[in-house]
Amino acid sequence: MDYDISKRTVMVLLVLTLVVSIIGTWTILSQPTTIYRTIEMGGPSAGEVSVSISPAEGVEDLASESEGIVSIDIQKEV
Amino acid sequence: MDEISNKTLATLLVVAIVISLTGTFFAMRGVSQVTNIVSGHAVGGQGTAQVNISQVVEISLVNDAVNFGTGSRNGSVVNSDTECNITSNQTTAPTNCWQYTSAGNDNFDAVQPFHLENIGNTFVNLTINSTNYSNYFGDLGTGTGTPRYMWTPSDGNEGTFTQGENGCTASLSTTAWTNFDETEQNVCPRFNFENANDEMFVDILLGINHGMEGVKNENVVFFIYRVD
Repeated sequence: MDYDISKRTVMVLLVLTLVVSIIGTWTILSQPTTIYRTIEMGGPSAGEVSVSISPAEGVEDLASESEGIVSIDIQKEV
Repeated sequence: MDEISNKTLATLLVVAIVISLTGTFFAMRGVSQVTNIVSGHAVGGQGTAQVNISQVVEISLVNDAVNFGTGSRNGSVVNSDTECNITSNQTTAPTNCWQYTSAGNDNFDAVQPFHLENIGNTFVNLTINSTNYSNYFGDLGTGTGTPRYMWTPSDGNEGTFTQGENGCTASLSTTAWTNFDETEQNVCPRFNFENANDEMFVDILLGINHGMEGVKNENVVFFIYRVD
């Protein structure tokens, strides 16, 4: 090979490489995070929710009691 | 060793540009969209979310005092052989036999029944207990009437007075006036906890005999038991 390209051409290509790389990186970083193909994957199609209702702690039979009062003041019959 | 020619450098730069463009393209479109190859998925077949709810077994006595205030039998209209019955659910004073000196709030209408609300998150069995009429009054008087210390439950669906919400999802254990007898007595086997229907009432009746006098106070205890 007798001829070679100029250093100027190499510089232009180098600058072009830097520009493409920077623009590409900037474009990707500015995109919102996206999850692709979650439906077509054939992965989990059903989830499971289990609800466990536990008995009140320390309670077997009697839970609690509440107290009221009945009062009257009966005076001498008139 | 010969130096790398500018042509070789230019070739490498072109390759670098192509790689950079390709990488950007894949990153923007997603590898799986371009290649149709799943790039990753969950290993487990199902996800699990677990919620633990603890049972709360509790009632509130919205009104915990049935206060008949101060009054006396009216001997001019009731004989000594007849008791004078007053209840916590009378809209007017029983003028035929009882006259008030004062009532709970200086107003006869203020005598209210026990008001219960299930503030837990489970059905409960409700029972009631208090002493009998003999212990309540102590002095049974000299008349020949029938002293009474009785209770009766009500909700919006049934009961002596049918009032408030439909708190008892099962039938009330009784809908009649019932003597306290110093034992636990069933009121409602399934007291609801759902907000729209979690209240019920217990009314009190006193049968005051001729010759009774004095201040009478007695506790009424409500028990609740968890119902599955």
